[in-house]
Amino acid sequence: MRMSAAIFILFFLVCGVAERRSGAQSEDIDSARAKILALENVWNRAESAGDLKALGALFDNDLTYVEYDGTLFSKAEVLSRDKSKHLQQVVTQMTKVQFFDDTAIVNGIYRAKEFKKGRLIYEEGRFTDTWVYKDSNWICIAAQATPIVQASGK
Amino acid sequence: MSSHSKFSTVRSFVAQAAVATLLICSIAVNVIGQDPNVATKEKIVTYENLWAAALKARDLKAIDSILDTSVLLINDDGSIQTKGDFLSTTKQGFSQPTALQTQMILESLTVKVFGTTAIAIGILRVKGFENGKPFLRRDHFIDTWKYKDGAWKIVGTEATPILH
Repeated sequence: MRMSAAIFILFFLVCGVAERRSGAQSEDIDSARAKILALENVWNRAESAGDLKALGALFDNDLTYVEYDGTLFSKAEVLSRDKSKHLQQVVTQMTKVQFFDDTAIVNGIYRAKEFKKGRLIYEEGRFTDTWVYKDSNWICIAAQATPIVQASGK
Repeated sequence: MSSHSKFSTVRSFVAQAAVATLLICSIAVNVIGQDPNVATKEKIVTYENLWAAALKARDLKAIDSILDTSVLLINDDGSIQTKGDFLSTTKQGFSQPTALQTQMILESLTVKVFGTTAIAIGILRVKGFENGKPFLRRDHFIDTWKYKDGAWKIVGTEATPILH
């Protein structure tokens, strides 16, 4: 009888710890998701404002970046391109963040307004950004954009 | 034993010790200088080739084992698919005559490793028919691989046509 009571208490203790732990994990994921979305917003604003310092802080030194026309860029090349770009506005929507331990994959749609050769150009594409948690920070290691050719229902 | 021969024995010992030290140092430098991610990079290259072969052969079982359950695939026309959607459209491709089926060739591949995450960057040459018309295009792709539950899986993938 005493034994079964002990097992009963132990069972509740284990359940309590497990519940608290999963609660903490989901809280961690919620907080990480908020951080990633905030960083994505910083990226949009920094691109529109041509803030290369802010952009540089978001990207890993070994960043891989595939532009919407299929060009492959390094971090230095992206920053150099952004320096000469005349972006008016970048907005993202339908953004989804998925976590795989210390890695986050962000998918979404972006819309950009840019002055090119005296004309206002509109660009719309689907993007995938890969972030890793490194040295206590989330940092972008890969980014890619693809033009949306056909209505894909999203 | 003369002092000369003693000296020569000592000299020979010193020489042997020096050679041994140099050998150990060169092995240590080699080991330290080696890319610690070589084995992972080699694995990802193998998996990328399997992935390309599975796509080419429309091998649903292989595709299923390579893609993570929650992966979202961004195709080169900007459309998005879940793993289920992708397996379903790949299966539908079986009904097409062989001559009309899409062909894919992996042109180039680079792998970067970040702990238990790997990024594979490459160019895929895609040839096929769209709306009855033949097409040939080259796509730049990035596949994100994650080591989870004892295996490497694709957790993110996107392809962009090279327009220049």
